[in-house]
Amino acid sequence: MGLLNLSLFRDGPHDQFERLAAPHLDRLYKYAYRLCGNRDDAEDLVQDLLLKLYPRLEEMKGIDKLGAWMARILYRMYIDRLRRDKRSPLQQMEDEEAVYETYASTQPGPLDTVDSDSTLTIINEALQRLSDDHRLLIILHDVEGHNLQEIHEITGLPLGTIKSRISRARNKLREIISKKEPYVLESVKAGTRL
Amino acid sequence: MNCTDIEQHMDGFLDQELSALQTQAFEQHVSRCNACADRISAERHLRSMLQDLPVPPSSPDFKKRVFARVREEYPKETRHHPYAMPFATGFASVAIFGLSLWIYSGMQSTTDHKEYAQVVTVAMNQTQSLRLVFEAETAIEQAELTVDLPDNVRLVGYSGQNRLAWQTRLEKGQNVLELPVEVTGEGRGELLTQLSYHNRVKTYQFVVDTQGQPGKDTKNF
Repeated sequence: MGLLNLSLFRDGPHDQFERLAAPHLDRLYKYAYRLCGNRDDAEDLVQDLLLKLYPRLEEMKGIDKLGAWMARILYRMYIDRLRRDKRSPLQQMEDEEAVYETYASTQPGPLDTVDSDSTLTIINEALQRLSDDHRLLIILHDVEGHNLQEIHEITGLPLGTIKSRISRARNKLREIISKKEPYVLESVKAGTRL
Repeated sequence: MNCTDIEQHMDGFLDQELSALQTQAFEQHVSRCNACADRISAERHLRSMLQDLPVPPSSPDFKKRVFARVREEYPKETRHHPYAMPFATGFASVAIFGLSLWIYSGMQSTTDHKEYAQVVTVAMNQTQSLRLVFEAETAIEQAELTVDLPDNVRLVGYSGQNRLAWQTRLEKGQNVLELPVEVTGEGRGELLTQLSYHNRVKTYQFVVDTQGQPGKDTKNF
């Protein structure tokens, strides 16, 4: 059987790059969304990642687990972006209490939201209100499913620090959820979803 | 272990990081303490929901846009002209008869009401390999192949191009052209393939349909 495999024709670096990167784009976007919390920033982050990686095409060809490798770089780019933003006049709010107060004063209460918000949405909102350090560890460990050793490789943090921070992060998450929407934790305890 | 120990070791238990002895002690306490059992159950459920956190889809043209931007940023690539492929050699000295073409996708394929038009049903926003199988009774040294894509279909690696052309050689027997395609919009569109050789032109038409609009008489190839 003669084979006119199109890939034989597509030997330009852009085509090679697209062929390597395209299969990982959906997962990277989801990861970026979970880090950034909104679609525009997530898409920008993935765009920046591709722009950064294109000159490293030859290196990419030899990477064994390319998706995981790209995800690690995306994570570091996100951290760099966070640090850069923190130097800008628009400071992020670090204190969950302050964020919660701001949020609570402008958002509908439980009775207003029970019909429109799902439990998942509320948990997602609570996650976005954690400090960056806590939120990132929850995302890496509980959302993306990385183990402690993998998180150590991604973040460079000592294992003991990771463990204790994850524990504190979970406590904070539960605390924020219970302040915002106590009924959510009740539903969690009951093992049901609203 | 008591209830305080359980609280301290809950993460370790759920992450399966406790020793066998600790796990046994943990489970013994939980089996006889409803409050701790409820706490464990709630924590498991919270983690499960964290993994299910919704992510809205990316914007419809996201993939196309990001790769187009890379090409803009790094425009130095020298692209092969589609008519200057290295496969265009020689001259067909044998008259060709009985050249046929069918499509194989591993997906649903149906025969439509239109004459000679096959319907191929594909999933949205996923890169899928569409195979066009050309069967030639004899080898064709020089043939020109063109593919016209419908608006809602893009060929991976050829962003922004709806018409592609190559010169190539066909072997006697089956020749497979693999097209990595992605359907970016709902609805039906016509994929036209034209093969020119030896002053002959053959045109083949397929209907590409997004999943959810299957045709009749479905069969898998």
